[in-house]
Amino acid sequence: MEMPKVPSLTNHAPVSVSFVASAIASIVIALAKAKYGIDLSGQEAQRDHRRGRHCRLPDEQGAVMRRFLCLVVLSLMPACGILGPVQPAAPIAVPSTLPEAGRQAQNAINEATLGIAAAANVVRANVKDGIWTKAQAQGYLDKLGTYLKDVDRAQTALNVGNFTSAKAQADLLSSLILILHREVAAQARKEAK
Amino acid sequence: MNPDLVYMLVDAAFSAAIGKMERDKLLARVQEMAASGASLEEITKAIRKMAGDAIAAAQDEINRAP
Repeated sequence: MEMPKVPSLTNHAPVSVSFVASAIASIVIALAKAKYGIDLSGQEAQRDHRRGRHCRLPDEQGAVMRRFLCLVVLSLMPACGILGPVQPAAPIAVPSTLPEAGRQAQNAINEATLGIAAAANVVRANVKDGIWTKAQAQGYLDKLGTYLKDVDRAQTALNVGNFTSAKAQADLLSSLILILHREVAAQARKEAK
Repeated sequence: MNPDLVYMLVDAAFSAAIGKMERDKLLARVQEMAASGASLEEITKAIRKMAGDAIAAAQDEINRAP
């Protein structure tokens, strides 16, 4: 079954928008201060306050503007992937002979397999850098080997048309691999300290 | 904000990022394949090979380690 191709989207747009928004905010603050003497950043008011000049209005104005700018920056942070998940790149539809349920199961299996490959690469890097002992690394790698065998079992279930079971197995494996990923990362961090 | 809380948040983000970076690298390779017109079955085989190769490479590295 030939599926229409969706163009691959790399997710640089939100990050670029955040940079542009920050640049615009900085320019507005600088222009407001230079041209009209408006203290949007609140620096003047703070300085005056330290010198004992109590300029109530600019200080309040500055504080409000600072809060506003903080809100703007915080609202942009998820788009940068700092506070929240970034929308993943649009999936590319690929041709397949599988029905929709089979396709979903296959995707779940592939996700789990990809997680195993990523974890094995982290293990390899940590051994190469001398961060882990052989025993630690072997322990994690043995777990990954077991998971890979489980992935193969899920693939066998899919190949015989048992899509629901294959997907359930793959989803469970993805959760286990995620837990292992966290363990691996936490261990690497602990050893690196 | 409590500095300990900030540290915990940064620490959690860092630990998640290690595995995620590796995963994103592999995912980029898969997306390249998909963009070049590979079928789901071909992509599945390639991903399975990636995992097998990654485990074998990690095992080699462990065996070489002193």
